[in-house]
Amino acid sequence: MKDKVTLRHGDGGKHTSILIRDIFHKHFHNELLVNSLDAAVFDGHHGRLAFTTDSFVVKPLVFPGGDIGKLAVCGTINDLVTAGARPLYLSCGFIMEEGFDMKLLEKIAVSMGETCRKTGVKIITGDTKVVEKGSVDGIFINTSGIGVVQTAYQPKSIEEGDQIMITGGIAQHGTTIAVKRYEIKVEGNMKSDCMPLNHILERLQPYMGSIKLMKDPTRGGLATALNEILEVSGKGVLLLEEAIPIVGEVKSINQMLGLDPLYHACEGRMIIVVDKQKSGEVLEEVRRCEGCEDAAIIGGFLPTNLPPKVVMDTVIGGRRIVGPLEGDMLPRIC
Amino acid sequence: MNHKNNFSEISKRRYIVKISGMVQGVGYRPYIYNQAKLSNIKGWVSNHGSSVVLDIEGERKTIKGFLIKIIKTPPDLSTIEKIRLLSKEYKGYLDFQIKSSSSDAKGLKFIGGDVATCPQCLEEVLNIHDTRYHYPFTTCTACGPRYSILRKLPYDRNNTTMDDFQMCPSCEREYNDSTNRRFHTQPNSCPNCGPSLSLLTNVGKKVAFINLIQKTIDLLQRGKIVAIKGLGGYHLACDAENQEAIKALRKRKNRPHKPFALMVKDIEAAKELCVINEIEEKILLSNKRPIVLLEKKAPKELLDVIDPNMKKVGVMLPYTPLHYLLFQGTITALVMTSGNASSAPIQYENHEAIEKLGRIADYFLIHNRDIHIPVEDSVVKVVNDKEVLVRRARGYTPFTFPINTSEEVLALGAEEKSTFCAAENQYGYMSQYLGDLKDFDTHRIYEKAIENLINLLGLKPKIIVHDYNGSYLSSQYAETMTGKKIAVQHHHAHMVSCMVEHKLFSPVIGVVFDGTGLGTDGKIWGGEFFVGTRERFSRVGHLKYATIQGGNQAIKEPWRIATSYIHAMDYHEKKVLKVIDEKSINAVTQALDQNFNCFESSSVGRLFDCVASLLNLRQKITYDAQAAIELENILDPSVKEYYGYDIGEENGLYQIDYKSILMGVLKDIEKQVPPSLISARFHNTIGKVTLEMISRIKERYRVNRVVLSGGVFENTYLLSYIVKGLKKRNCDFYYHQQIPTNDSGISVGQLGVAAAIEGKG
Ligand SMILES: [Fe+3]
Ligand SMILES: [Mg+2]
Ligand SMILES: [Zn+2]
Ligand SMILES: [Zn+2]
Repeated sequence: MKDKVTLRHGDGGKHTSILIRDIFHKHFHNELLVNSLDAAVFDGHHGRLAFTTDSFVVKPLVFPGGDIGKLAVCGTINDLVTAGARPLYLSCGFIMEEGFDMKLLEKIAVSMGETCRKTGVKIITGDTKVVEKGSVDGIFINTSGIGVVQTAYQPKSIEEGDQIMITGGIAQHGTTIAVKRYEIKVEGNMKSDCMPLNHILERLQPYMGSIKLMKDPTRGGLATALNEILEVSGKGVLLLEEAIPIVGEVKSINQMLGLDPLYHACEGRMIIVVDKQKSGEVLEEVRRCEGCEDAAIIGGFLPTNLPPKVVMDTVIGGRRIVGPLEGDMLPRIC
Repeated sequence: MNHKNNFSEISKRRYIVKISGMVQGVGYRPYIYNQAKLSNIKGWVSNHGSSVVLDIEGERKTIKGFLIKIIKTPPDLSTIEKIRLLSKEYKGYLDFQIKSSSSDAKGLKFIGGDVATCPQCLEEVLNIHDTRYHYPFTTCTACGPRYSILRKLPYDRNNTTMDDFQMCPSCEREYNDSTNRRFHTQPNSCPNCGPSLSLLTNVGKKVAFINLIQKTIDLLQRGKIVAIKGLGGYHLACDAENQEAIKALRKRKNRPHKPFALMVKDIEAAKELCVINEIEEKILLSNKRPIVLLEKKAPKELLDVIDPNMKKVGVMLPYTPLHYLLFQGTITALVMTSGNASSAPIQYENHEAIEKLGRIADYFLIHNRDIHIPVEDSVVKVVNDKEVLVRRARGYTPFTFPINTSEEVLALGAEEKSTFCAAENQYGYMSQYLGDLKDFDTHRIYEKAIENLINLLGLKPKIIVHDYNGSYLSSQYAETMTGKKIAVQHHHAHMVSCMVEHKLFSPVIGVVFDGTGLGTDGKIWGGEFFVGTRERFSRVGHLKYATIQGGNQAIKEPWRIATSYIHAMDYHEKKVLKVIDEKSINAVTQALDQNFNCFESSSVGRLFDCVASLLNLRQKITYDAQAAIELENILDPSVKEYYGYDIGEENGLYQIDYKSILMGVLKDIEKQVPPSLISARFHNTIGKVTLEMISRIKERYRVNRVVLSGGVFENTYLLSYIVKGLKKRNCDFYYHQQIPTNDSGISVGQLGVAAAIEGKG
């Protein structure tokens, strides 16, 4: 196999087949995929299904803690998870520019395959296009996913005493991408938080009756996600700055560059709104999940006699209004 | 009764006189009544809406004399805006009466500000034989709360928070006696019927003592911090001579540097501490009782504790009976700072104050007269013998001024130092200073104050004006309102606020220097030269753009600004910013090279930050404009030199190149020239180059009138330097006195722009 992707790899002919066989089928291997032609055919599942799609254009393609492949699988898995669904099948579409490094493509495929195996999710159909050099920047990946909704979970109306939990340190993905993209030399090993969250869902099954809402704070970060929760619930959010988990290195690099970690994307974190009664137990349960050791309760909801806004009690004192992200702090982060 | 046929009355006349302005709740009707009796005028006087109407009869000459008298020497608190005179058929009144009020929704409305205790009331409070001896809520028509307790117009007791209290027969008598100075004093009360004090611990437990004021004085003398409920909100007070108390207050309030204001016992005590000229004395003693920024008398240990580095200190005199009573012990000066936590607004509700201030104050001296709308202390200074408002609040608001529109307009102001303006019927009403809207509690008060003023005035604004920067919380608030929206560029609003203050309509050269404001090119402006009118402007020059790294953080950390400026020059950052650790500088310069999290700025405020950082005066600020304030503070006014500067031209715009100016600063630093000299030279350079720019613009655009606006002109030295230069050049120039030059004036400018646009068509 050549070491660069050429236009012929995308012409739908022999070279396309070779590419699919030697890279995608090899790393995504499963019966449904290998046996499918134009469409994958699979058995129906009982209950409600969740279906989502997302495209990934991150730059750089490889970053500490992951690459565009892992991101593309995790992103779609996590969107299904926040809908309370157990992810089953994914599709993936690749758009590459000619000249793309074949080894890098394989590396991406390997991490996609690994993430799938780890989560028990199968990529069962896909598509590959190669475009002239310069038409895309390296590689873009689209994934769609189907999951089956766990009947115990349903978004519920939020009440005043409910607690807001985050499943780990914030801002790691966005900060890591920024540092790598702009080649800022920093000490310490900062890593993206990119990871699949379906294991959390499994663990939380017994508590689904007490879980009001789940949301992943991706683009626009924690601040934007909480403003979206405000929008749908109409309830003001009160954050406690000192309670928000953040890795020391992430915090200091944000300080150095004058960035606000509240607006950085997370790719392996979930906001969980939980009934106060059960919040302690849920927190303990979440902390037992791999990668969620720093999970914390970071706030609650404002009393209804106060105007509904997202606000934060800051470490230096005072209660600051936290708006959604205006414009992109950093483009192409996922 | 008709006496028309009586010969002696043929020469008599009858007029209806309508007087608009601040004429209600200020003892205007009793005054008219007494004057009418003295002049033998018959008829009646009545409140009508927010105006006063007179129906008067008398000899032609007598009437003339009477009118001149009441116009020229009205009662202290009143101001007359408009008089209408209507000749009527003679009726033959037999006496002069005060008639009951009628309402008039369409008339001009004037809302009185809160007024300091008058000398007569004070005398009663201090007289052991008086029924109001030591009574903290003593008031009369000439003094006391107004706007802060007013729920709606007309200004009647049942429309104020004094509605909770029923007047006793004795107070009632005073209220109804037209010869008494408490005639129609809406908040009138006495110890038998009015509000009362309570003293609480910081967890809200009542402290039982007969003499709560004496107990409070004891606590203060023992170095305790006491939250005291005043006229417009809570103060945090401690003995200004107790270093430990002040240190504790700074720590608990998380306010390491920002100067505290003082309340001193009397004018003599003030003169002990500060150099006070005649005008300053008059303002200190005025019934508005603002905080006046005064020059410290050196050396005076007491003032050094308040703020060791500052040449000036904010001082006010007592303005409620309670304040006077607190100085009955040995304390002659109290630190009196707004009762809030860090950047939050002044607290005004009892339960919330205890919740929020419980960690700062040891005790609470509260009372049960509710504050309907909070109002902070006003801050003024005297520049070139004129009163200049820095913060327009208690006593000075709501501020009524003429504006050329009949539309109902609401202008929402900027985001920090926020105020708003409402307008109708050719008048604008400016709100009190409210503060930084990013603070949740400030935003709540902002919303409440808007609703309150609109209700008081009975408005339904059809035009909503906001800043061009849509991310300002004030602009976002505009989005929640219905009506026609007008966005006004920040610095245009600054320029027009000065034009409104000075009633200017023809084109001007606008010199607007401030910290940050969004420009129409998406960049951050703040060193702007405009030629324009109230309606529109064109940018004819500016400080050359510099790329600044670090977003909002840069504004809080001047070293980032200095690094950004120096990085763009032929000079090495590390050669000068020695105190900043290398890693931080490297991160910023790498981000600069990558244009990551950077913005382009033409702000003069940022250039001041840069120089303050280069001189290592301040690398991290803890309050707004701290670095620039400290840079001005250290300058040696005897220095006349300045640095070289260049004015270039690009795309038809004059551009001040900052590079040669900063090179001058850097070379002086290398030569170890004292910072006081460098600061002076830098200030002089900015002054010089501004004058040069104005000269060129005058020549090119043939406009001779200059207005100066924007927060940087709070810098008295720079302002005076430029003013002196403009005088020499025979320019027709204007700067702010009544409308603050900082962002709290923005709402006035926005209103001015909207009025001009609407007037066109
Ligand atoms: Fe401004
Ligand atoms: Mg997604
Ligand atoms: Zn009085
Ligand atoms: Zn009474």
